[in-house]
Amino acid sequence: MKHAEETSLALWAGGELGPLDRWLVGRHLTRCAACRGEVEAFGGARVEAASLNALPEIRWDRLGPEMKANIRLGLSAGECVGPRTPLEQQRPLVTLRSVVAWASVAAVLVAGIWIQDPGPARGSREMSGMTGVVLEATPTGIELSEGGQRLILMHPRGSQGTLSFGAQGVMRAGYVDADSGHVTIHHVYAQ
Amino acid sequence: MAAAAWAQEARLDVRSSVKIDLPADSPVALISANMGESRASARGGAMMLDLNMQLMLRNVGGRSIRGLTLLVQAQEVTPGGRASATQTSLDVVPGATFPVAIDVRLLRPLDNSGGPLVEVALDGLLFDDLNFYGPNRLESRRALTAWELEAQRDRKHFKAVLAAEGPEGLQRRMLDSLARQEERPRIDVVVARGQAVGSAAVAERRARFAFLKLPEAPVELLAGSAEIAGNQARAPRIEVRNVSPRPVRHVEVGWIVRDREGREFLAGSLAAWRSELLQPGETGERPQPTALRFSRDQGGPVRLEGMTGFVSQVEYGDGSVWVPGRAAIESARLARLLAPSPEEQRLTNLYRSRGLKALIEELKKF
Repeated sequence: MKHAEETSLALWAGGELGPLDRWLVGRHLTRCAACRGEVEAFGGARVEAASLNALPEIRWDRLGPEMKANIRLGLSAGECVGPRTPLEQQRPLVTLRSVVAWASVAAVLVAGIWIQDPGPARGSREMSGMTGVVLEATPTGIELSEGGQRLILMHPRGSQGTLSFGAQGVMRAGYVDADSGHVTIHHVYAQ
Repeated sequence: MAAAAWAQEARLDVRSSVKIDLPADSPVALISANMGESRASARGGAMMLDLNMQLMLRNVGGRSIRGLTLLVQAQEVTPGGRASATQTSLDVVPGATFPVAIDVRLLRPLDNSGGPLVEVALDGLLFDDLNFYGPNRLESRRALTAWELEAQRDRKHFKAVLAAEGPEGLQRRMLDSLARQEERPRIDVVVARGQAVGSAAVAERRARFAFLKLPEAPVELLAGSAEIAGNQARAPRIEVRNVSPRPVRHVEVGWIVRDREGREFLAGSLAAWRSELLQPGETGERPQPTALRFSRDQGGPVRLEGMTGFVSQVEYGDGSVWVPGRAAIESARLARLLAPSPEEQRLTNLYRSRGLKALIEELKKF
């Protein structure tokens, strides 16, 4: 029996196939236990990924479309790594292509987290357990974050200036330009 | 690789992204607004905007300008948040131009509803006669006045040193100030507004403030405390009494923290009283619904052991401001902890970059 392509199984598991392919793959799955096993493995991974929605400040729902596109990219990359195994043969549970594909998915997830939240101080804020409207100084500027959204008033010329906070919800940095002598003072308010 | 595939950069349509708002009768006029390398980048499900604004303003009024504050708002991105950029220690005579640079980065969802992302507006400016112009939504009148008074105080001090001890004496003071700026112990603080501190590994306790009494302060600090757990503090409150003969509108208290090793840091300030008038002889307090986390040396926690407060600024009901005198801030304990005023930093920078002669010429200007 000819097995369905791994790419098709992954997309089927995610409900991403077009109508005709969906019907063809679905029809094949009713008769092929091996392919059903692969689909279940893909589905399990999707459930695990969905549970990551509980992580604070990561908008997985918004990353979804990009992740799906990159999963396809990863699977395509897997295609390039090695020759197709004849579908008639019983395939092992872990194939080189699936390793490459899942490695691509992992890379997408890591890159997604990094891109979604590029602020260097994210870890320290999570460790502190502080939520809501949060103010802090980072190497790039004074950062106000609220949910997944950020406003950063950047330090001039990379100087971190003289920092101080006001307990009423304000952070301040003062800078003296070494060339012009201009004095600039930044405030960011969480009020 | 994935990041490169996702990131799509585009130059920003500045006209639709930034709104610059100066009142019709403003004493400053916008001459030019250069948006330089401002750009928007799609990153995954978010849009990152870098706005690099170089504004050129002209004093179109009849008086010299000492300071100016611009309000920066991105309500759509951070509904509760605002920012400001202030230029102080200015001496902008009528007709003169001066630059203000504002670099803002915004991170927001892709599905924006349109309209300006950032609004820049004049919050206020201070003239050389200490008169103020502007809507003052950020209380910039008090801040600009305090910085100008500190500038006058420090210029007077260094002029007196020059007169009494000559150029060598002034040079010694500059070197002392530069050394203090380098050696001042620093601390990092994260501020969360209106939130409780998350689960801490150690039990929370109510810790009392000790107070450092400064001579001639118009208010007295009576009692104060904050909930402390490890390196976190929340809900600070200080009771104050107005011991001056005039109503007081705002009291700012400098906040020194001490760790378990006995090291002290000037962490910041606390508005012990604000907004309403505190009449002569009256007492009051304004608890702050704030949580703070202290760390240093790139994230190492500062285990809080004690706290000390001192009156650092008072605004009277008529808008005039009190700041501590030079003798008070040069006391052994405060001199080690306090950052010099912006004007003192400017003067020491001038000495370092252009030498003693240029500094003496600068002190002669006004």
